[in-house]
Amino acid sequence: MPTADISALYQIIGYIVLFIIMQQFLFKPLLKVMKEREEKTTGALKKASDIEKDISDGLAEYDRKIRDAAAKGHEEIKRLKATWAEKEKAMLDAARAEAGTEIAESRKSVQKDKQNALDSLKAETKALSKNIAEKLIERNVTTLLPVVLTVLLIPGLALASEGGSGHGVFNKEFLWKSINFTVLIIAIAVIWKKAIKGVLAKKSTDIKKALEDAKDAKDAADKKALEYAEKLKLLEVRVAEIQEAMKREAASESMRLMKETEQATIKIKEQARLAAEQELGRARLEIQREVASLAARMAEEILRKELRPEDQERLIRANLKNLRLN
Amino acid sequence: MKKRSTARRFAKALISIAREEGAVQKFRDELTLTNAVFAKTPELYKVLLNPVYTAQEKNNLLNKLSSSLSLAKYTERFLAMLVETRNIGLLPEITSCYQRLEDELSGRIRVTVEAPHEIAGPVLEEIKKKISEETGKEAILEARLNTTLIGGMVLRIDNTLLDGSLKKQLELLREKIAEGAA
Repeated sequence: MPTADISALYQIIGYIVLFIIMQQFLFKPLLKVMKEREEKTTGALKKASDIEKDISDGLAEYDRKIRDAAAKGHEEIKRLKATWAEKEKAMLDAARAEAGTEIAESRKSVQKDKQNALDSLKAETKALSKNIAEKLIERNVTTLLPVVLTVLLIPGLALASEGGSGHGVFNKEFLWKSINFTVLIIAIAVIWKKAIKGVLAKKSTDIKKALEDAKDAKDAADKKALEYAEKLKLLEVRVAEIQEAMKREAASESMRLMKETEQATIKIKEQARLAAEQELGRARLEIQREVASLAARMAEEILRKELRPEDQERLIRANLKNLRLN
Repeated sequence: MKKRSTARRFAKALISIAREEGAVQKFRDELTLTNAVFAKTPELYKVLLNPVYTAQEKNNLLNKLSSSLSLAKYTERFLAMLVETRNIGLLPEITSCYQRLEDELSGRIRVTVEAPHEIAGPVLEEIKKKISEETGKEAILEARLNTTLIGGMVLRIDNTLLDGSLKKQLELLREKIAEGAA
């Protein structure tokens, strides 16, 4: 039958010391690591979400740029049509310059988007690296258990060594106490191990699931990032195609307008020449008529003044000479 | 055109009767006289064409006219027929056609000679002679003054116009100059 004496106090003190040691070296680091892991898992998911959002925004921007490029092309052609007649050459130069600027801007923009996407992917890669490191940390945590047990055994060992150098009367009692202490330690260890193992197993499952989710999210983000990268490549090609088509269409339109302008110019010149010729012809005709009328009037005046009876008779006889009635 | 054709038909009918009666000259004189009276008294046409007056009243008027002009019976009947068929208005054309038909029958041709000055007798004779030679008919000249002609002459033979005036020559010359062909 055990009696309450000073040894009970030692045991209580030993338990307290053990709890303090375990709190300091086991519970706190373990909780800290778990907290950090939780934060990192959630962070990875958040990053994946951010990447998806960035990609989504980038795709919207992609569509917008395609539309803008096409719209700008059409607008440019429309503008060319509207004002070609007034400044044909200037417009061609402006169209070429504008097309060049747009191409350069589009290239720059595409390059920037491309770089942003790559940066995001790099950042995500870092996050994934951290997750991998976490997994490694999880393995390290499990290796701490023997150390804890060692720490837990330190007070017992200390007491045992203390008992080894004590009185013989303690041997039987010390043995009993040691057994008691050992049972207690084992019980505590078993209970703690079970509890910790259960907690750790659950936590491990949760973490594994979270990591898998994060990995899935990351894979999805990677896939989308790849698609986005492909699209970015296509964006450059697509914008280049649009610009090229726009240039071709603008060139074709310019050529057509130029030909039309040339033809119109030739026609206008021809019409002007014809009008001038007609005007000249009319003027010439009017002059001739005027001259003819004037000449006839003057001739009539002269004839009226100068015509004598013998002239009249001569005229009549000339008429008679030429008279043919049959 | 229709009036002229109708007038010609009436004239042909009348000259046919006149030839049977051997009074071609007489009919022409009476027709010319009647036409002159109607020309001086246009009211006669109005009365004879007016439906307000009865046929009897119109006949009475024609009888009085015939008596006063001493017209032959055929001439009087001819005028009555023109009134009845409402063709009395064609009297000038009928007279003209009758004269032409009579001229044709007689081997004559009527020629109007227009000149700016009076043509001397010898010259007129030359004209008459030349036209007679050309047509083979006796030319009967009617000289008219037309100062707008400036010089030369214009001959009208039936529907044929022969313009040998200086006015015409000046016009032709003016047209040629205006066309640049002079």
